[in-house]
Amino acid sequence: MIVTERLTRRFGSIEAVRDLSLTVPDGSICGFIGANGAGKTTTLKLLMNLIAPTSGQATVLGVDSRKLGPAQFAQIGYVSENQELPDDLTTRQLLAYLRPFYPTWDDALADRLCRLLDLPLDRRLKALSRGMRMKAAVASSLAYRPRLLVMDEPFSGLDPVMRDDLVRGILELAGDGGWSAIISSHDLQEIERLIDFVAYLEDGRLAFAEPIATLQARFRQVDVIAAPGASLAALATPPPPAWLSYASTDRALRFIHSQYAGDDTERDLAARFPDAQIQTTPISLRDTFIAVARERRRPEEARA
Amino acid sequence: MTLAWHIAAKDLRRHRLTLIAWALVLLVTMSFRVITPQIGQDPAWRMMVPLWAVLATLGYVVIWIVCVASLIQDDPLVGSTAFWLTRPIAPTQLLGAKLLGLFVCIIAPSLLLEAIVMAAWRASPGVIFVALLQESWMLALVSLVFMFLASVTSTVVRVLIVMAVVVTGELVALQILSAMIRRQVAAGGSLPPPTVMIGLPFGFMDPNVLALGGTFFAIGVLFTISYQYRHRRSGAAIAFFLAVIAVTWMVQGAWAQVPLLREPSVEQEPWARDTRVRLRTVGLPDGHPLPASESLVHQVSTIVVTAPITLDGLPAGYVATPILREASLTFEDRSRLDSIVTPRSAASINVASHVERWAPLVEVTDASMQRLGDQPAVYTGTFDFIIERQSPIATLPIAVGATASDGARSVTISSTRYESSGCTMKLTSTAVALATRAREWPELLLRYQFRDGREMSDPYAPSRDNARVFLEPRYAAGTASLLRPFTVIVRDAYPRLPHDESGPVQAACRDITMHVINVGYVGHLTRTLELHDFRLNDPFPAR
Repeated sequence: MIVTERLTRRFGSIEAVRDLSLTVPDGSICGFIGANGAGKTTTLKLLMNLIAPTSGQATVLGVDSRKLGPAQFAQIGYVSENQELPDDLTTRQLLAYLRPFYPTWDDALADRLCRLLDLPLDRRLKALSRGMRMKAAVASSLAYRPRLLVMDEPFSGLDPVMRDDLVRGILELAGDGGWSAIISSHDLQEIERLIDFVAYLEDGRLAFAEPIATLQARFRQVDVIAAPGASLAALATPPPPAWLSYASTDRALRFIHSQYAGDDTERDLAARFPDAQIQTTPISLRDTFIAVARERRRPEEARA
Repeated sequence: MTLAWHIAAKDLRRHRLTLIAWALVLLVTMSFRVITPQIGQDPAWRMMVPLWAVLATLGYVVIWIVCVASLIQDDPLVGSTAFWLTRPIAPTQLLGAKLLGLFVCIIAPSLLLEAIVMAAWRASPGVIFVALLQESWMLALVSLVFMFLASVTSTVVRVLIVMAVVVTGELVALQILSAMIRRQVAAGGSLPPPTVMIGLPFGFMDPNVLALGGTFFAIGVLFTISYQYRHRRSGAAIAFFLAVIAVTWMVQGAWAQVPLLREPSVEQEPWARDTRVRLRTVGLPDGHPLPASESLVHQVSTIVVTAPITLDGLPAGYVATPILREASLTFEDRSRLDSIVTPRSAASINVASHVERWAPLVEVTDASMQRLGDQPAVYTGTFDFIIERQSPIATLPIAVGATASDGARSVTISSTRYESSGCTMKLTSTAVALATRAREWPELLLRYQFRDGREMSDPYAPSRDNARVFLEPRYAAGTASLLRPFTVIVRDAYPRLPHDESGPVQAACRDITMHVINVGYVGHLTRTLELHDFRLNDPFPAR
C-alpha cells in the first residue's frame, strides 16, 4: 500500500527526512510515531505529493507519489491538523460538495458518521471548534470508503470525548476491512487501540518499523529486587545497550528491556542477578516510545 | 464540465458578497459613463462627478483584483495545506472551473451592462458585437494577469501588495531616470526632448497587431497559469511570466509580418508611391536669429539629435508619425557610426497637433558626441511612418454647454476654468465630454483656432503663445469601451480673453473655436532619409 525507498527531503540545509525506506503492509493500520520535528508530517506530505522529495521515491497505492492523481485520491482519505477546509461551507454543504468527486461515496455511511461523530450539519465550518472541524474532516474522508486513510495528528488538542468519537469513526470504517491507514500521532494511548503496525521516526530517519505485536513482545519492563543483605550495583554494571530507562538503587533496579526474548531473556536475567526477585511486565506503546526517545536523546558517551 | 460547474458554483456561493460589490461598482462606473456627458452644465455636479468618477474607477480596479484573487485563492496553489490538493480534483479541471467562474462573474456582467447601455444609445447589433468582442478581449487580458498574480500568492492582500510594488517600482524607476538626466544636464549637457513611446506596447498602432500581440501575451499568461496549476512551482511560473512579457516585447515588430493579420497595405495605395521623407521647415518665432521664412529647427542634446520630419505627398487629412528604426552616420574616412537603439529611438515626440512630428534622428553616446560631433558625415536613417487619417468630429466655441454631433459621436464642453490677472486672462483648462457610438474609438485631438487664424495646439513648437496642450487619456482603438466619457484638458494656455473685474466675458470666449478631430489608424510606410554634410553637434550648418 505504501512503500518508500531512500526517501529524502531537505529544506535548505535541514534534512527533514533522511533515506527513509519503509513498507506499510496492505491491510494494516500503521502508527507513525516520533518526537516533535522527527519528520512525520513531512513524510506524510511527501506521500500525498503535497511536497516533492529531494531524492528517493515513494509509492502509494502502487503509483509513484509524484504522479498521484484524481484516480488515486478518490481512494485516499487525508486528514491533517494543518489542512485548510472550505470554512464558509456548512458540514452539510461540505459533504454535498465532495460527493460528486467520489464514485464510491456512500450517503448512508456519511449519515452514520455524522450521527456517530455528533456533527452539527448546518453550522459553518469556521464556526466550529477545532475538534468539530477535525471530525468533519474525518467524516468527509471516510464517507467514500477509502482504501487508504492518511491521518496527520488527528487527535492533537482534542479532549478525550472527541478523541473517542474520532476513534469510533475510524473503527466504523475498519469494520468493513480491506483498507489500510497510516496515522501519525503523539497520542499513543489512542492509536494503540487502532494500530497493528508501528513505525518510529527519529531526526528524519526510520528507527524501526514492525508489527505492534512483535514490538510489544520485545519491550518489557524489568524490576529486580535484591535478596535481603545483597547489593545489585556491581551486578548491573555496566548495563547492556538493550536496557533502556535504567534506574537503580543499591537494592533495586528498573529498566525497559528492548530485546526481550521470553525464556532466553528470563534465563539471562536470572543468571545475572542470582537470588534476586525478578519481575517482567509488558508495557504500553507510550512507555515504549518514551523509553526509546529518552535513550536516543542521551549523549553518545552516556550510552557508551 | 459538470464538475467544473460544480466547483465554480461553490466559488460563486462562497464569494457572493465580493461579486455583489463587483456588480455594484460596475453599475456605478457605467452610470458615470452614461451621465457624465449629460451633466456638464450643472455647476453643482461639475465639481463632484469627476471626483466620484475617480473613486469609482479606483474601486473598480481594486474590486476587480479582489474578485479574481478571491476566486483563484479559494483553492490556493501555493503552500501544501490547500483542501483540494488531496481530493480527486484534476488541476486542469480546477483551472477550467476558475476560468468559468471568471467568465461568469467578471466578464459576462460587464458585457451585459455594456450591451444594455449601447443598445440604449441605439447602437446597431453589429457595432455592439464588435464592441463586446473588444471589451471581452481586454477584460480577459487583464483578468489573466490578475489571475496569474493570485496563482503565485496566497492572499488577496499579497496580490494588492504586488500590484502596489509594481506601480511603486515604476515610479521609482522614473525617478531614477529623471535623476540621471538631471545629473547629465548638471554636467553641462542639454536635455533630450521629451518623448513618449508610441501608444501601445505591442508595436505599431495597428489594432490587428495589437490584438495579435495581446492575444499572444494572453496565451502565454494562460500557459503560465496552467503550468502553475499542474506543477505548483511559483518561482518557475514567475520566470515563465517574465519570459512571456520579454518575448512579447522583443518580437513586437514581428507581429506586423504575420500575413493573416497584416495591417492594410498602404504601400499599394496610389498616393503612397509618391511620398517622400524630408526634414520639415517650420516658421520661427519673432526675434529668432534665423530667417523666419524657411528654417530647419532641430534640437541637439548630449546624446540625441531630434528634428521635425515629414512625409510629403500624403493626401489631405492624413498625418504621418515617424519612428526611427535604424540610423547611421558615414564619415569622410568611410568609418561608420550606428545609432544606438533605445526605447527613445523607437519613440516619437508627443505632438498633439499632428501638424509637426518630431523624431530622434540619431542617438549616440556622450563620448561619440564629443569626439565626432563636428565631423561632417552622411546621415542615413530608416523611419517607419505610422499613417493616420484625421477626420473632424466637431468645431465648437469654448463655452460650457457647447455641443456638436456627427451622428455617431457627440461632443459637449462640460467645463472651462479661467484665471485672471490684470488684463490677461488665462484659460487653464477645458474639459470635453464625448460619447460615441462609432465602431472605432477615436483618438481625439484639440486644436484651438483664433479669429485671426492663429492656432494653438503644439506643445513643443517654439514658444509662441506659451501653448501647452495635453490630452488625457488616449485610448487606443481596439481596446477601449466605446461609451467611455472622454476628457480633454488644456492647461496653461494664455489666450488674452476679454474680461471684466468679475471674470471672463463669456461671449468673447466664442471668439475661439475648438476643433475635435478623430484620428484613425491607416497603416504604415517605411522610408529612408539621407542627409549630407550632417554634423552631430550642428546638423544643418549649411542650410
